[in-house]
Amino acid sequence: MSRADQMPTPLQPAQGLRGPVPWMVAVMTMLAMLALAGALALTPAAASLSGQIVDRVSIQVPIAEPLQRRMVVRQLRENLADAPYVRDVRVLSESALRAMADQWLGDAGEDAALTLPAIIDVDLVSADGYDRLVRDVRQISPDAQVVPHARYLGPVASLMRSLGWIAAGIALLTALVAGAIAVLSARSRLEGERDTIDILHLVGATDVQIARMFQRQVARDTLWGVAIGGAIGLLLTLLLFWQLRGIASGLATGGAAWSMILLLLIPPVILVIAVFSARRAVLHALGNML
Amino acid sequence: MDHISGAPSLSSKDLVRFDNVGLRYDNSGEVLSDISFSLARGGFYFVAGPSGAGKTSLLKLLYLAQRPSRGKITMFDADIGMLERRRLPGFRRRIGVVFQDFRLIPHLSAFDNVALPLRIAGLNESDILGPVSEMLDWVKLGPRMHALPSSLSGGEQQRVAIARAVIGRPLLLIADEPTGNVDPDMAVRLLQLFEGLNNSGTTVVVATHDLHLMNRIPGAHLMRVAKGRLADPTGALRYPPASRRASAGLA
Ligand SMILES: Nc1ncnc2c1ncn2[C@@H]1O[C@H](COP(=O)(O)OP(=O)(O)OP(=O)(O)O)[C@@H](O)[C@H]1O
Ligand SMILES: [Mg+2]
Repeated sequence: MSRADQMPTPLQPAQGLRGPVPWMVAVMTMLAMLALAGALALTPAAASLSGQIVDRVSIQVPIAEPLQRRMVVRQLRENLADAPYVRDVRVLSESALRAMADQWLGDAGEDAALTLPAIIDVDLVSADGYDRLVRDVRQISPDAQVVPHARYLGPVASLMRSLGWIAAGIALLTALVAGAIAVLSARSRLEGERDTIDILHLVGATDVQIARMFQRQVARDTLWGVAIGGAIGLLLTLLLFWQLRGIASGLATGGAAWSMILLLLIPPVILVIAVFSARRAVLHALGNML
Repeated sequence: MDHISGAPSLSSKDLVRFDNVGLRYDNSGEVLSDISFSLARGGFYFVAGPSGAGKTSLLKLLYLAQRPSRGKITMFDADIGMLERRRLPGFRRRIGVVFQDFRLIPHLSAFDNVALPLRIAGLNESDILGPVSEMLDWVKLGPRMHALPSSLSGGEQQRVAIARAVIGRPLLLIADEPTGNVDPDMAVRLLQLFEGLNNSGTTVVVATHDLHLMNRIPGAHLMRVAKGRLADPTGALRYPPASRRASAGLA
């Protein structure tokens, strides 16, 4: 059998890069890599984001009168700093708040003499401390509002997580589409080779021998595709990771080596999927011939 | 296994046996009907008949390109109707076929076309080069061995087809009009090739219009096909005797 593999192929010469298959496979490989890169980037980012937000709350003190507000803020800070369930307390400076408001409202903010609430960020030792915090804050100032970060960052984190799953799904689907492309190309080639297949059968070739001839052609076409698509996909991924690192240095990049290995697995996985689906399709078609 | 004959000796003597075989393509009428005969091991048979009589169809049954629509074909001591698909390649490797339309593989050179059955059978390249070159020399195509079929004349293609059919020293050689495209000298030469193979034990079946060819093979049997039936006025041809000498008078 192995000798029959080395024989000059009786099938029509493969079209190679002149045909559409390598290019379609290249696009699929690239898309799969980008999608997987997205999944790999989003999942740890979402995890670290939710890690940051579950135990963080903001306290808003909406008291218009500045002296009274500052007093309440100082009281809150001193009390909370000593509380066993609190890890850290930070008061946002009024000037920082004012600057932030101006950014959003422009001069209108000052004209309206808008009173800004004071904001205190509190890191809890654990999320369990939340209820005690609310009780203690209420005792000091019934007007103060306690806002857990999870309330507004939580949806973002879960959105990122969903996007990560969707991206992983897209990576899987595109890899499967590459397999389907290989099947379609093997089938159409099968049609064009009916005469040759008949001759091969009649000189005693087994289905497996004939399937192997098709397999080799599909493998060659797909190899070109995954090589080109893989190179471009890798380049784009590195570029994106590099940009992402610039923007969000806080996002986790700890699993970078793992991510790289997974990404580099995509081209060979697509090659294997393509060759085996083509083999199955060819064997199935041959089984229906005499 | 052979419940019709009941005689074990028959199955070992006969290479092929047809019992009331019928063949239809699609849903039209039968192109072959009530075909019964047997081919003795080492026999030389001619199949003659007018165009459209069913000669090629009969040969297709013999080289396992068609299964019978009815009746029973026994070949190499196996019931072909019961044969599993995966066993077909093994059977086909014992059969050499010269197709009426040659059926060379267009992308392969004359050499690679002739080498095909040997490569399919898994022979080493070192065991292929010698015999294939020798065979191509015999059919006077040595200098053209690297040519593609499209650049060969009809006669040359026919000789490649014949070389491919005999290269594996088959037990059964089936040739459909093998001399239709060559000059009379080459026809004689090719027939000598068949005769040589026959002398070393191969059973040969040749379909032809050219009854002159038959005179060159003393002792060959004749099967006449007309309108899809074996015409057999004497009845003696239905089960030709195993020994050619014994039936020499029939040809
Ligand atoms: N694949 C096919 N499908 C349908 N009908 C067929 C097919 N092959 C042959 N036939 C019909 O079967 C009949 C016998 O054809 P066949 O080719 O066996 O004749 P033949 O004796 O070999 O003729 P020739 O001497 O012209 O080669 C013809 O009527 C032909 O039209
Ligand atoms: Mg014919």
